[in-house]
Amino acid sequence: MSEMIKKNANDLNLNFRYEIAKKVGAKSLLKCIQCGVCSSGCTVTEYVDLQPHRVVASCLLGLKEEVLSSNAIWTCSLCHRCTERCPKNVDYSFILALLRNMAAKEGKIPKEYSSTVEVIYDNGFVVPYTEGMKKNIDRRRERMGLPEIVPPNLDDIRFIIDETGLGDLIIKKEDDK
Amino acid sequence: MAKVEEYKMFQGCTIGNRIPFIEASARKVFDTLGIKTTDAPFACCPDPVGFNAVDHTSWLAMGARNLAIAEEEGKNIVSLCNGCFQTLKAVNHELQHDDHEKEKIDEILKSVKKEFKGSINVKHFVEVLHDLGVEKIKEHVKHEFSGLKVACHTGCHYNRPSEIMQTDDPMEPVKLRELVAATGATPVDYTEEMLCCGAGVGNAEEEPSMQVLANKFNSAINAGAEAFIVICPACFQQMDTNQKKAGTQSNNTFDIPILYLTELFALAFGYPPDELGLKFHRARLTSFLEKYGLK
Repeated sequence: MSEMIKKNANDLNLNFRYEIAKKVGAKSLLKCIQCGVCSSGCTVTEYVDLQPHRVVASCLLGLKEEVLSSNAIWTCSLCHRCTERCPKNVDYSFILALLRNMAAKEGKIPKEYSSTVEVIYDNGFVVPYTEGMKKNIDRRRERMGLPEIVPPNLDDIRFIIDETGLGDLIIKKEDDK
Repeated sequence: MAKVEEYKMFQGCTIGNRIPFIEASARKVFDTLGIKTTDAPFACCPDPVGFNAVDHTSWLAMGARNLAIAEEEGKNIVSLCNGCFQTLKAVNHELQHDDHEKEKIDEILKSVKKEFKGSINVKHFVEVLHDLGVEKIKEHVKHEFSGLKVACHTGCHYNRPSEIMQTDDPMEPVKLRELVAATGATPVDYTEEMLCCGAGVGNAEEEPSMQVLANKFNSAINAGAEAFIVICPACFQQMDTNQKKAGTQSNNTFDIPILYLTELFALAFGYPPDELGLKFHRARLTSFLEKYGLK
């Protein structure tokens, strides 16, 4: 379990709650009454350093740094039980995804996550259908009597990834251009 | 709605590229039941746990692009995967209810010559089968699974968050149970039926992922289940490939068949096991098939 956090009032980021709540889907953050129903039904409640209701409390208190570096935001299966059970309709799973986005922007993102962007940039799918694997996948599909994969327009995919600022996460290959 | 509705098939890249035998069973079941589908150049949905974690806007734009492709043909989407289903349905919902996000996405899509209108629906294949009717499905059952006790596992993204997904009860889903019962099999009640399979957390940490899975297995096996019936490829892979790991961590030995609902249906409809690629399962099905006269 997490240690007690000691901080001066001046060091709290009191704007943090509004940074989150300005997203329509995350506005519900401000309604939390700290009942703990989310944490009591959480799939991974015994494995996180901050349980869901404490993540929310920390957001409201302005403990931005602590929240964004906790394992709680990544050790989550996004099963949505918290959101489903909350008596105040706080959409914790939406808030959590947003916290992951914020951590990612600061470079605090497990490589298992950032690498999926690279794979999709490369071939349009997260389970790769790249030149090297195509033959194998096509053969397996053919044997099962399945139609060929219809590949997506890669220019579209790459444009979207670049346009939304995810390009920095990717080490682009020269021959892609 | 007309019964001859044609769907755009969204098998998703896990099923299509990694475990295509699941797609084969789904297409056979759809054929038998007269559910029509066509393919489209969809890209990755992209997945609601991983990609959405990196950047929400990018996730919305990629999802909206897929929706726009189906919209161009005026067809609803049928998804074989919980993850794709949740992404496409949630993106559809968010862009229909959040003008601020929609404005951003419209701008991005314009550059790739696509337009999101919010004019189609996204359906999970379990919904499509259930809408067709349990009675209609029973008509096609040639091989009854009388006596077979199974643990139904819907997975989290099929029915939650219910405000958006609107498929089934968020904590006590019934559609999968009713469909399974149509084959003569009996869904058992087990304490951890609504527990996540743990796949989503495996990206970050393996230990909780395996412990959650072990808890799930133990609960179902104690209730007398001989097999799991699943409807999500992420759950399928987690449960089919990690039995040894989950066992080692929890001092158990697990050896329980994991079947996709469409595989159970295809077997019940009389398709021979060989045609379904059941040999590609990691958890062996040999004794299960023998016991139910399907060698």
